[in-house]
Amino acid sequence: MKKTFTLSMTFLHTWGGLVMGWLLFGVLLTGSIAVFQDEINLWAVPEIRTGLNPDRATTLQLGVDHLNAQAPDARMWRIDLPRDRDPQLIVAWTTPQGKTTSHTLDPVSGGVIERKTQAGAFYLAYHYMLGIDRNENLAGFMIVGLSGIFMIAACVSGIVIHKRIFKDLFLFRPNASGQRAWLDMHNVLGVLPLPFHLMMAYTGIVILYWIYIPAAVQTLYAGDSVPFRAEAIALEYRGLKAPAGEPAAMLPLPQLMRAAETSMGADKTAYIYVRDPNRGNAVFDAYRDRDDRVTQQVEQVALDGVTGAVLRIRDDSAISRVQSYIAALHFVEWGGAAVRWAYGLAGMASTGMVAAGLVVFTEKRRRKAGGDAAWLTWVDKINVAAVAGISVACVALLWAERLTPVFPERAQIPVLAFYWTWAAMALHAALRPPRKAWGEQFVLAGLLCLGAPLLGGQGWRHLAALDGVRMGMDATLIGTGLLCLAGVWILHRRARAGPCQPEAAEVEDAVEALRCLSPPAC
Amino acid sequence: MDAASRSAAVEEAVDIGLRVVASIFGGYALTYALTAAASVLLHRGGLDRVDSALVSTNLAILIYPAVMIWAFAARRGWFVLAALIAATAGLGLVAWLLPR
Repeated sequence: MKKTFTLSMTFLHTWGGLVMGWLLFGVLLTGSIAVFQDEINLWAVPEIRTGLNPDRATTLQLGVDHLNAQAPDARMWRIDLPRDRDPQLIVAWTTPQGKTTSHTLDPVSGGVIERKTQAGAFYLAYHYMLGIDRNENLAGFMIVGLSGIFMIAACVSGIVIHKRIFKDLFLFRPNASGQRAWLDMHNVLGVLPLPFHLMMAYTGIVILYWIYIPAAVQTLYAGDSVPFRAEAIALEYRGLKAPAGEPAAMLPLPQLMRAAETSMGADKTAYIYVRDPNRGNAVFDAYRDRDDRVTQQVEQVALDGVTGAVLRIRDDSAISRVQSYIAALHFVEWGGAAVRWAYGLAGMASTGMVAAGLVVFTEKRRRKAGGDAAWLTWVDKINVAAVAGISVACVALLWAERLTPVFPERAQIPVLAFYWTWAAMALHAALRPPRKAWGEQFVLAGLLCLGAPLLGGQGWRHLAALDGVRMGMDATLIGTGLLCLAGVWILHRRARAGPCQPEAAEVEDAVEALRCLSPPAC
Repeated sequence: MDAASRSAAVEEAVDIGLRVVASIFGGYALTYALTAAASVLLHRGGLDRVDSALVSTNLAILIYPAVMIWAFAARRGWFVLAALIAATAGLGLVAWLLPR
């Protein structure tokens, strides 16, 4: 559209990046946080005991007893067995009317943990559908998918417009003029982890590919996703409309689990579905843990609940296994804490790349315009709300988790706190001069991070109990808080001092740039 | 702003609008139609249903960012839109006319 391919790509990267960047920042930030969703849930619910290592058969029987007491006539039970990362027993049942209820149990005492939490799950829900349940409305889900597609296009156009990609890889001039420094930051965070950005953008779509583009379900399955899911995901997929059988006694579930584990490996059952429990047509479905292999579609064994006969052992085609592998690269339930941290930090690099790109947009134009054009000020205000505002909201969610008392509908309160905080930050950004708003909101984010471990004295309890995961979360919050405050302080000091070399934006020479890096210049 | 430069500005805005529509909706339509046609062809070629759906969808998706880039690189916005509509219609016909 412009005179050259490079200029056309600059247009796409700049303007597309601005609009999609507002969206992507929150998506990437919540995604980076959601890597730790189980750890966050542990932190949010002090009642979950860690390090119990209960006997799995006994724990499963505890869950079955609870379900038999609550819902012997349910159409479906689900039992999540405690795992290292997530040491709670979760049971859920679906009534013939289609209503699903879940209870969280202590895996040893069997007592119900009344504190319902959304903490980790909400970050994930925002990450891939903007917090809008895709079963009710696909809008958020599809918009996130579009932003993933754009992210691929932005990576490609970014490479095209980047003149000296390898030289700049090693170039970061924090003391150069504002625009130059932010552009360097955008480049360093963008280019170094570029394979990660591209991989995550693509693999994110591969996870639920048939919902983004349901064309093949349309052509090969006459538009009905139920048989498709039954083949592709290999669930024992039986709708609630199919009639339930006559009452019958099931085999003990621990015995069925042991039978399923002869093919899956001992102690490898992660969760269990029982379709039509306590009926003649009961089906016991065991799903394997995926913490030790890179697969999204887990191994699965279906047994007859009454006779124990093997109904099906999941056997994927080679192509299915490839898809499963690609999707698991995004979902990262394998590899343990080291891989989770690598993903979390690389994700924060993506997040920072988007933020720096948004700042470059306004810095560059402010320099060109020479003054403060009104539209540019509004772009900056939206930047503040999209970057700083949602960061504050993410921490506010954790505060609300700590401060909301235990009552039946409590899980929604922290989610509301997230959105109301974000709205308040947007209002604040609209009313304040952008430069002040940036600093004030990141100071607030920093203080909230520092304060979160102190709420209710929980941080002290974690220390006293040497509770590793929860202490790690506290430490991460404190570190993040200090980073926010340090960042604001450095930028504030620089803004007062002015750029160290007024012409530094034009510095093309790496040697000169390195000289600018050395401390005495400022 | 005189009349000539104003009409040039309007022309540019329309051009950009066409490209945005082409890249978002045209890109989606083409991806959808390509998936549909490829899934039928693969299935006819002997791949089973699930594998045909899987391969066609996950590879066709890659054309979407390519369309986004092309929509802004091409010389004329309206041409992009017209070409996308034609290609989508063609692939759609292939998908619907071929017996499963």
